[in-house]
Amino acid sequence: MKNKDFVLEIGTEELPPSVVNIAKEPSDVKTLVETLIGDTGLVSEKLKYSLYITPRRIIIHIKDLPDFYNKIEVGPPKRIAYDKEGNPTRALEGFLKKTEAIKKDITKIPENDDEKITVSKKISAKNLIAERITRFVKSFESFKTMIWESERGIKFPRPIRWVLALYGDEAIPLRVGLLTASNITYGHRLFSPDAIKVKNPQDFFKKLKKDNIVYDFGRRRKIIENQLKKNHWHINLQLLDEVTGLVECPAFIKGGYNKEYLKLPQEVLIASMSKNQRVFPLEGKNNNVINKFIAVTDGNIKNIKRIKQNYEQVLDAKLKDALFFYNEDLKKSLAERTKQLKDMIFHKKLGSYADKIERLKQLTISFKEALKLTNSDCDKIIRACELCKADLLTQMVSEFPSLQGIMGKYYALAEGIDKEIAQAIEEHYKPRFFNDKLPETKIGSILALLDRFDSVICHFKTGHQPKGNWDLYALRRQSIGIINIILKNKIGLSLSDMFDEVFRLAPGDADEKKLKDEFMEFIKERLIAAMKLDYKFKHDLIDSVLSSGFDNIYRFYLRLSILNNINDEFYFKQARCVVERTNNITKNISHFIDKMDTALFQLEEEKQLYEKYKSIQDKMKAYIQQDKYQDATKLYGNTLSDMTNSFFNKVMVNVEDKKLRNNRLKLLKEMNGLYVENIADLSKIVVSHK
Amino acid sequence: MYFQDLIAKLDEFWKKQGCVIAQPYDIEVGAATFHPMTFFKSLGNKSWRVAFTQASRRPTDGRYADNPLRMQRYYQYQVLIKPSPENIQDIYLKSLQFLGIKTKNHDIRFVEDDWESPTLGASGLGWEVWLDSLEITQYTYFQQMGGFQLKVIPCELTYGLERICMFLQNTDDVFKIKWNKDINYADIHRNDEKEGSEYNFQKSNPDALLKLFDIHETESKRLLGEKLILPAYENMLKTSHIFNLLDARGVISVNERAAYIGRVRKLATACVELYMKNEK
Repeated sequence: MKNKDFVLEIGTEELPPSVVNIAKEPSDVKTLVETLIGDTGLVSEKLKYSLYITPRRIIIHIKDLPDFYNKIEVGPPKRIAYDKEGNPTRALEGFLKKTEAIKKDITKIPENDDEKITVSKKISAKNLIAERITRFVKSFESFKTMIWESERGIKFPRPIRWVLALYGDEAIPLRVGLLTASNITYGHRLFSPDAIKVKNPQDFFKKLKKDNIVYDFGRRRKIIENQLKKNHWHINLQLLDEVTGLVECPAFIKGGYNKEYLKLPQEVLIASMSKNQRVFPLEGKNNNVINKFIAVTDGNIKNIKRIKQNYEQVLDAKLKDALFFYNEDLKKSLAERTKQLKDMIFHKKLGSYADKIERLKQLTISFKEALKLTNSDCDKIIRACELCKADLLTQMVSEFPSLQGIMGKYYALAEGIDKEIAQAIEEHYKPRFFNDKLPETKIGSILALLDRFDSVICHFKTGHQPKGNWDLYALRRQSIGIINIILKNKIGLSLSDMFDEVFRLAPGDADEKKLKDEFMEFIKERLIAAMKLDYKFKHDLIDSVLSSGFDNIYRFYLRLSILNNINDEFYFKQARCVVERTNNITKNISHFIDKMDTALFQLEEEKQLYEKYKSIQDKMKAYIQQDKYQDATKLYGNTLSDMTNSFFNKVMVNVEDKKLRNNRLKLLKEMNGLYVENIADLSKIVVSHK
Repeated sequence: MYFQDLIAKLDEFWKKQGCVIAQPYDIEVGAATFHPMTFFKSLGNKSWRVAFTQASRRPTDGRYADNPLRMQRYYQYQVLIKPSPENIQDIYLKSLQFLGIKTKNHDIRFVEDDWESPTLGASGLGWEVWLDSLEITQYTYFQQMGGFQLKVIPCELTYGLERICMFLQNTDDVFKIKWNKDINYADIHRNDEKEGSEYNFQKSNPDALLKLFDIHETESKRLLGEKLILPAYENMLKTSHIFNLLDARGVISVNERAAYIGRVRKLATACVELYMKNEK
């Protein structure tokens, strides 16, 4: 068995940066390579492969690829494959025909009649790849694809213009659409566009290198990043990835622009430069954007001076545009624009943005107390509600949608509107993406919270709940925002009350109870994920605290974190014991008609347990109300543990006498409920037996 | 190279490629794609090669002659080649070289930009071509026209003439472009730009425009009933341009936009259906 290097190059017209970026994700790379050489005997732990992508090439390099592998096919069992005389049957012959094998390929004739016959076939790696290349090309259909040959031709993100396939120094003539692979590649489109004959994989990479083609995505990215770092760039990793996907040979130009444009908000400069020319703004000492940029060109072109001049001219025109938008936008006040929001639909079933604003104002008033807002807070939030969506109608936000909120802030400040309100306008969109900062001001946080509650619950009412992968309105992300804002600001809100109020204000008709259950379940899922991923709480603890409810997310969190801190304490274990024992016996009892009758207590143990229980009731209620869960658990565990054990040792609960029995169960259920209904169902905590 | 010579050079190059050198359409269009020689000829399976200059009107892009790169009326050079040849990208680059652009001395890029026209129900995949970060051409392989999936794929190349000319003349302002040795772009168009911008943004008559939209829409529908495709199409072009004027004037709310675009699109699709029926 000989091993040789294999290389496949699919040469295309310029691929979208998103396709080039496949090379960034190791798992995507693995999947892609496995599509080509598959779940066969070729793939092994030891196999070394690389995927290189530039805008014009997708290259797979496999080192020491075995020239064939043994494919095992499993056939019928021995007793069906051979007759009584030991001759092959029609079944065996059919199997051999199907797998294109001959008798010689049969590995061995098994002893056992029920053991299956296997054949081992030598499959050449070249044939396998030639067969699977179509599958490989098809796997790109997860991207937007096009046809260019004919309607029955292959689909790909961009036209494929050549294919190279080499196994050692042998060209594999595999077919991709109307093209046949060969040993020919092409250099850089502008500098060396002619065909280049290649001897073997090593020669292939050597010739690309000679042409200054940095085929390795990671390396190309690093080269660009290093140059940017040297120049104190405004960090934008997304732009870095995109730009890496736009060049084969990175080269650099440093340029500048008129200082006048620095009077535009930084965010505008950054947005314009990254969206239009994909150039990187530089920062000064205080991390503010300065009037300089770095452009990454494709190829180290000698005409640098002229190119720099051209880049600068284009930049000037684009910034002039931005300045035009800015000045035009300032001609109308935010309040004036807000009036036009009645014509801007939030969603066709949910009314306009003007409607949304009215709902947000109403929510502010309805939840003023629950949110602990002063009159001044309330006024400011309402004012912010009225202005926070106005910038959606400005030219700047039309041109750069990512600047929503940000422009609102700047335009508000330009009008002389209160700084806090201006900041809230910007902040209410945060967190905008995973790991984004949360709003910092109280006003901003409340507005962000109410806006999200409104959006999520309204979309639930219109039937847009996320299903599987579908979450068009980003309700999951918004709910995570809700949880994070609540926890950061220690906000005590009832989810149930919030649902009821938004549901009432939202347009349309729907089954309120059903949707409320779905909504609570939905929030619960996000809550569990947050508690696990962000706080690393264990699943059983989360489960136990969830059992006692999560209507008030902040208090839920407090219970969870406090119990997490004390879960090694002796009194915690005591409390857990009490809960567990009282749980088990009262499991199937749902309610009692009779009240507890102390006169029915007979034995000392039940009387004493009752006394202990009574003695802590008020204190427990107080502790719970004050969120003092450590004290509550200590009191509960210490007071009731020993007495509970004595009770169970001496008292028979399930006696014949119904009155006695119910009375005992009632006591145990009440004791259980005192903890479980308010704090956590500790019986769900898994105890490790060491 | 003078502006008028740039056009002549492009005609010369594409004539050699076997293109019919056509004339611009005489009705307001937002892009050369709307020209019947692009639009209708993209449908169906027949081969077709055409090239022509087309003035295009985009009312919202008016800048009162103040911006060096943006205007409400400008010239496109349009090429449609169907079916698109294997080496079309190379041919395109050769066209740039033919104009005197030394491609080895510049940063030329094909940057993903999938063009789409909601009103025409047209979409394709392709790029904006950058010349030292200046977008000079929209390069598209159409996949759909009038809502129909195309079976023979055309390549559309739309050059931005002013930008290329600015580049060749090494000027930073469109109005400084020399049209010929005596006249420059400002002499011909500066005033038009100013007046056009003022009209589009401030002085047009919204009521009249709304009425005209309805009139042309009704006419288009009536003419489709009469099986007169081109007259119906021309009335649709009118509605499209009037919509652009209304949009620039700021009288169309965000919601209404979608509705208007839908109305124009309906007319365009109907024209396509009738055309396809006739082709059979």
